[in-house]
Amino acid sequence: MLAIAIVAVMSRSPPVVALTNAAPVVGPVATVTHDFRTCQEEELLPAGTTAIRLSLEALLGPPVLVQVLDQGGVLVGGSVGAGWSRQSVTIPVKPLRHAVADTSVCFAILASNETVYVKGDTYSGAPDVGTDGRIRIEYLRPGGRSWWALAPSIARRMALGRSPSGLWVVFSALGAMLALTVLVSWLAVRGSS
Amino acid sequence: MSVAVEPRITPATIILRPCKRAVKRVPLVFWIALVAALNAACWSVVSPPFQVSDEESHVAYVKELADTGRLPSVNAGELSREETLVLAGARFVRMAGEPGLSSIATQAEQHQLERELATATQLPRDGSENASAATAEPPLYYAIEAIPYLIADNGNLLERLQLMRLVSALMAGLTALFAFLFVREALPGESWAWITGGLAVGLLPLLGEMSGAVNPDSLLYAVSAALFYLLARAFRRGLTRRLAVAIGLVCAAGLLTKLNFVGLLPGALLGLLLLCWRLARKSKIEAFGCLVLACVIAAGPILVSLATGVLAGHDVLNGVSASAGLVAPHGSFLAKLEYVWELYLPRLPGMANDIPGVFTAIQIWFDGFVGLYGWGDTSFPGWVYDVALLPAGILLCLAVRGLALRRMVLRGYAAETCVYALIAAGVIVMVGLSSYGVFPGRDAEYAHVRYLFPLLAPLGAAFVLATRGAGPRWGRAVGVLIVLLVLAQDIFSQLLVISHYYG
Repeated sequence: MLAIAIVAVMSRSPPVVALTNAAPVVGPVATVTHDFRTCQEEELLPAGTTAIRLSLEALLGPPVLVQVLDQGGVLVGGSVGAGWSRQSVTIPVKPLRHAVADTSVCFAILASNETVYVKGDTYSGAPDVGTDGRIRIEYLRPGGRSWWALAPSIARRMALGRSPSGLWVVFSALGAMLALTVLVSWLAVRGSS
Repeated sequence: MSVAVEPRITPATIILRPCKRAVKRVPLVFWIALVAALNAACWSVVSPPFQVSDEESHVAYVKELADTGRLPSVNAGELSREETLVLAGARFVRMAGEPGLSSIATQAEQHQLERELATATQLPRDGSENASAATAEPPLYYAIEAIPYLIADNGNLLERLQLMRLVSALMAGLTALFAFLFVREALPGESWAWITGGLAVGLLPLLGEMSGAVNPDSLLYAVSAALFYLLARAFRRGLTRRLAVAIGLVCAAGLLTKLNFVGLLPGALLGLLLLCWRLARKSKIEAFGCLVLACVIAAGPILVSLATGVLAGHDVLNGVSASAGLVAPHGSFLAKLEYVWELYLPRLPGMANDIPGVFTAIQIWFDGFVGLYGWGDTSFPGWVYDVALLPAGILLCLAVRGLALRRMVLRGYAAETCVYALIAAGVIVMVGLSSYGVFPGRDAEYAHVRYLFPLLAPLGAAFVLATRGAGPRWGRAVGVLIVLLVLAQDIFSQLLVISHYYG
C-alpha cells in the first residue's frame, strides 16, 4: 500500500511558479501590527493560476485575504485562515483560462497580536500604499511534468550544493532508505509472528 | 527400513546459515537503534546544509570549542569568516527565503561553491566567538561534536558538517533504544508491542530531521528518554545505588546538553524522592545515601564549572532562568497561566484571547507533528493534515481504551504515573512560559513540536497502549499498522523536503 501511495503521488504534477512579479526579497517593505490593506498595481495574472503566494513572514500568521482586480471588478479572490507559518503564505484561487495584464493585486491582513513582515524589494522606485517598496508575489499553477519526469533533474540538484557532492550521495541515501524499509518490514513481521 | 533424508547442503546454505544465526544473536534493541540512526542519516543527506533550525549557530559553537577550546561568549555580530564564506557559498539566506529557486543547480555553480570552500579552508582556524542563538547553551553536545569536527580537520566546513550530522544521527539511535527500553519496563507484556513503540519513535520524521542536523536537541532527546527508562526501571525493580548514580549522571548530562532539560527536573526529583521513600522502608541510611548521591552527581558538573570558572563569561545561569520562563518581564501569574493554557488547549470563557483565530492543539501541535520542516516553511498541502486527523483520532481512542483496560494495574503505579505526568507538565509549561517571554510581539515563538520531543519515551508508551486498546485479536495488526503509518509519514516527509529544496 505504501508503494502504491508513493507511485500515485509521484505520478502527479507538482505546482510550479508560472510567474513572479520580479520583485526580489530584499527585506521588509512593511511591518504590520494592525489591520492592513494594500493594492499592488501593474501585476500580470497568468492563465491557469491556481494559487497566489505572498511574501509575508510571521510565526503564527493571521487571516489573509487576496483579490485580483481588473478595472475595478474582481477577477479572482481567496483567503487563508490564521495559523500559517514563516516565510510566505499561499492562497488558493480559482484559475482563469486566459492571462490578464495590468491587474491590481489587493490583499488584507487581519489584526492579530503577532507582527507580520511584508517582504519584497525595498529599493523599488514605486512603493505601494502603506509600504516602502514592491511586494514579491508569485503565481502558481500545476506543472506539466510528473514527479517521475522531474526525478532525474531533482537528483542532479540534490547532488550539488554540498560536500562531498555527486550522484553517489543521492543514491546512498536512496539505498539507505530502501534498506531501512526492508529492515522495518522485517522487524514488524518478526514482532507480529 | 527407513532412510533419514539429509537436508541438501548448497553453497548458499553454507553462507546463509551462519548469517541467519548471527542475525538472530543480535539483540532486538540493536535493530531498533539501527533503524532510527539510519533514518536520521538519510535526513542528514536530504536536508541541505544549514537549512535546519539554527544549524549555523550550533556549528559556530562547535567551531569555537574545537578551534580554540573556549566557549562562545557573544550572541550578536558576525560569525567566523570561514563560516560566513561557506554560508554565502551555500546560499544560506536565499535558500531559506526562496528554496526551490535558489539551490545550486548547475555544475558551474558547484565549481564556484568549491572554490569558495577552498578559500574558506585556507583561513586560520580561529573559532567563532559569536554563536548567535546557541551561545547560552551548555557545552556537552558541542564537545561531542568537536570530535568529528577535528577528525575531518583537513576537509572543508561542509565535509565537517556532514560528519557532525552523522554523529548526531547516532543519537537518534540512542533515543529509540531508550524509548524501547522504557516501554519494556513500563508496560511489561508482549515483545511485539515494545517493537511497535521503539520503531514508531525511531521512525518519527521530526526526530530524523533534528538528529540529522547539528543541533543539541538530538542529544537532549536521547538523555530525556534515558531518564524515563532509568526511572521506570527503578520503580519496577527498586532503587539501587547503581541506579541512583545512573539517574544522577543522566540528569547531569541533560543539564550540560541543553537548558530545556530544566523542565524535566521537577518530575525527576519527585521520582527520586518517591523511590527513596520506598527504599527507606528497608533502610533509611541507604535511601538517604542514594538521594544524596543522585543529587550531588546531577548538580556536580554545573557547580564544578561555576566554581572553576569554566563557564565564566558564559550566560548559563541567565539562560537557565530564561528557559524556565522566570524572566518574562511582563504579565501577572494569571496572565501567564491563561497564555500557557491557550497555547495548548481551547480558550475557556473569561480568558483573554491571546492567540486569536488559531486552534492551537491542532494548528500548532498536531499539524507540526504531522509535518513542518526546514525553517518552519516546508509543509504538506492542507488536506494532508485534515486526513491525518482520522488515524490519529483512532489511535488516541485506542490508547485511552488501553489505559482504561489497565486501570486496575495502573492504580498500583499511581506514584510512577504522577512522576511521568509531572515531567511532561514541566516540559509543556516551560515551553509555554518561554514563549510568553516574547509575547505579544510573537504569538508563539517557541511553540515547536520539537521542544516537546524530550517526551518521546511516553509517546512510545502511548503507541503501545493503542495496541493494547485494540484487544488481543487486533493488537498485533494495529502494531504493524502504526509502524507502517509512521514509516509512510517519514518517507513522504523526506520527499516533501526534497521537493521543497530541489524541485
